[in-house]
Amino acid sequence: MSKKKISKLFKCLLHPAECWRTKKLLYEYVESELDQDTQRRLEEHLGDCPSCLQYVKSYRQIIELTHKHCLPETPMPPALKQKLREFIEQNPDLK
Amino acid sequence: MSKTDAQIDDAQLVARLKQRDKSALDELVQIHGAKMYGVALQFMRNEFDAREVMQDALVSIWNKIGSFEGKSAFTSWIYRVTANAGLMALRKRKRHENDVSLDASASDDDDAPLPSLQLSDKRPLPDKVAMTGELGEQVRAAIDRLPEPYRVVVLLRDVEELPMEEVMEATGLSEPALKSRLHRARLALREALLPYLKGRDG
Repeated sequence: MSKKKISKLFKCLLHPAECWRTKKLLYEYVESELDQDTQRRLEEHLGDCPSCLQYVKSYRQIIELTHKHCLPETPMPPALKQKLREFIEQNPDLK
Repeated sequence: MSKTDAQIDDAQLVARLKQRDKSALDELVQIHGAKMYGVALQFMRNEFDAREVMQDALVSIWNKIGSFEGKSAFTSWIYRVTANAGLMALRKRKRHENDVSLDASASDDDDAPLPSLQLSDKRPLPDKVAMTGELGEQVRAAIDRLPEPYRVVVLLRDVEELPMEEVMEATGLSEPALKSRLHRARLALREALLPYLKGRDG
């Protein structure tokens, strides 16, 4: 394990209750639902704890990636285009 | 700010749809069909059911165009209508299969693990590949492997970015249940995609 990782783990061990609390409040923090005091306290902890900071960053990244990569344009097969054209022409609900 | 050509095209489409011009519906499929199809496929995972979703979405667009006020982009509105049609189709399918409910039966216990979200190939991709199109495939694969009640809330909230109130209404979930389910789905995705995240160290 690298020195950097050991140092991060050590830092995290210094305040396990705050780390646990951060994970518990993660959703509310990322969705900006925390009251000011709780948010400030959590952000103070993030300043001290690289492990929690990375955890929050990766959670945000997942939300961004999900949105960015999951709206793919998918070319319609020609048969589907034709079926939809017929549907539009013939469906009684479309009057 | 001047409008783009696409916005002008969409404004004309909306006007024609409001005038009950059916050829505008056909044109809408030509212009936005690929995106609608992408959304429908994400929900249904097969071409046949995706077609039904698109048809339902077209009927909804036709019937509801009068209520479209232009507060959001027309494209966003179309995709939301398609996503809602996808959700309705999944619910219908579940009723037929008498299977797991999308609403109530998924565990929303914070501490219960999500068991089935594993990528089939967990070998980390080389960084260069991970930062290009391959990453998108991994993200989509991970979402696809979420159990359906979780996949649905991710698609509606994080992919389509529907407001919480609309997702609650569409899924029938209470606010705490929706938040819990969304959070657990995100954590499961994070776990599955950790090897591909920037600056990762767990």
